[in-house]
Amino acid sequence: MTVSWLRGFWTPASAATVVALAAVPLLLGGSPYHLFLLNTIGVFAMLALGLQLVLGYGGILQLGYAGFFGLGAYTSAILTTHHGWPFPAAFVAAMVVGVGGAVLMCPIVRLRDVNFAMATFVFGLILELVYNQWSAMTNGPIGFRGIPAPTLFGLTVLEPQHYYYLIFVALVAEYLLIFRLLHSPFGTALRAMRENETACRTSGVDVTRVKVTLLLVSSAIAGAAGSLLAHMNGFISPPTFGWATSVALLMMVVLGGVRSLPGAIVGAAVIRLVVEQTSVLGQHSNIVFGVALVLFMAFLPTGLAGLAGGLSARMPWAARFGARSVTP
Amino acid sequence: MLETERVSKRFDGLVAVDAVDLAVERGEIRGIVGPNGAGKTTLFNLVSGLYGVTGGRIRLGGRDITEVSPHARAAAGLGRTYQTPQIFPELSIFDNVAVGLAGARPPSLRDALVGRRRLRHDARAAVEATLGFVRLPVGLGALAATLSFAEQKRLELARALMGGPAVLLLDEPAAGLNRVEIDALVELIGEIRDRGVTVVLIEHNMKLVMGLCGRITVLDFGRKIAEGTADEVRRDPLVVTAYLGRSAGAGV
Repeated sequence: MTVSWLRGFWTPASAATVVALAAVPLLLGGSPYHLFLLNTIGVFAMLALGLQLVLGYGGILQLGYAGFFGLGAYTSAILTTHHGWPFPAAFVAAMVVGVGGAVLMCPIVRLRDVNFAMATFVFGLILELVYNQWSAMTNGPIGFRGIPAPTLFGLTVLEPQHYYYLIFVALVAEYLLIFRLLHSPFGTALRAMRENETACRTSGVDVTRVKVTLLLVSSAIAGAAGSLLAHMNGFISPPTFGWATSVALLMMVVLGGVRSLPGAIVGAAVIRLVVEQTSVLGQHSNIVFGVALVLFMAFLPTGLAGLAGGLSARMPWAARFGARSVTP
Repeated sequence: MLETERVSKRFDGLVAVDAVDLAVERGEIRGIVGPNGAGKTTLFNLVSGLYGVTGGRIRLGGRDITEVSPHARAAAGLGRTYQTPQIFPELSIFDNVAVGLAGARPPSLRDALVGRRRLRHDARAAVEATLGFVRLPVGLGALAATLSFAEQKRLELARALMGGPAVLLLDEPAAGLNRVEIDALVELIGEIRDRGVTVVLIEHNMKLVMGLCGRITVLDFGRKIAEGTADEVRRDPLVVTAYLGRSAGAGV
């Protein structure tokens, strides 16, 4: 029931998860490789959550999402490196430019289904092309080097475990934002829109406005994630923001479970780990992804979240906790 | 209150609605009848804005709404239901009804991010009151898909009423209901009118139409062929041949 806005976020499970995630760097004892991997997962979890909002809940096939990720990354990189902007300002600018990119995409909101999906895919391709070709700004395919580590409140975030907490805070903030959004009248309209657009319109819901808002919010999120990635790695190059990443993000949402926020995070973790393990395959890893996506759609359409939900419903404690659903 | 002026809709070669004039007075319950394919639902789709007109004008409370989008028409005081209930099956009862508030207060990011405890409280009170009014005594948290057909129709009606409509379009409200449910519906529509809502309804159940509607408009092949009180319409020779057919004397 969606009478409450934020009530329902803090369950024993969610509190334990937040505490456990906060403790991870202490447990790893500062292994730079594992922390780097975790930080990358964190950034992609932010993206997967943003895509879950627009695609999973909104039912809007945004297939060029990685392009907006790139907008944030390049904006933040250029402003801090060439123009001496402080990190917080560049971070905000990354979100603003992400939103700006989405505004350019707004005219295609009236397209439907496959046409809309194709338009977003092409939009992503165009952005990737810009990152490759506009060498004066992006340094082209060679990549953009020397992005400074972020400075917050006079402290420079250099250590991976400190960067972990930066991403962690951003991820939790994003999660809460989306959670709240979904439990507000806007969230109700959004879920209603996916089920029956006609009934929504004659009930007074401005469907176009809802879709535009979703695209803008999700693009701001992608911009923020891009900024965090750029400063974490100190180096960015166009393939990170290309169509293959958009497809990987789509897989994170599908694998984790459409319309599940925890699912998006788990999906991001699994896919990034698979990417790490299959990177020796080079280009062939796309084949692995393709086959995996088809298998998942065929055998586990509700994703890992659906699998977890199905399992926990069969457990002895299901009667006690089963009624409390995490997803609205 | 609701006027159409020579409203037409053409689908390729087919003229579904042909220059229909309609003038529904405030507080009226107007019946729209006609054989299947007469253009009744198409007329509703034109009035509610799901279809654009091929010709003619539509006015709501004196304001021309011909070019206004469906959600803005709803916000301007036009509510409707559908032949088969168009609900949100995977949403809770509460959410289904609360969607009807969107016209009065467009769902915004700001309301989502700022607390608005009061807003939540008011919404809940309004939803409960409306569900009570349409006599749907069910838990707010249950999924709409679990409701029976008759209950889904009342749920849809509750959603339409949440927008505080000045004019309510009901597309075959009695279809699929049993006699007891129809009696309750007749009473309910009377109460809706008593609240100052102008009602326009499409219905095949002639007993209901004759009992409720002060005036009746008859459509056939997209054209208005008759209009008047129940008695006038019943005696109209055009109606008898076009709509009621040869068995009219026995049936009505």
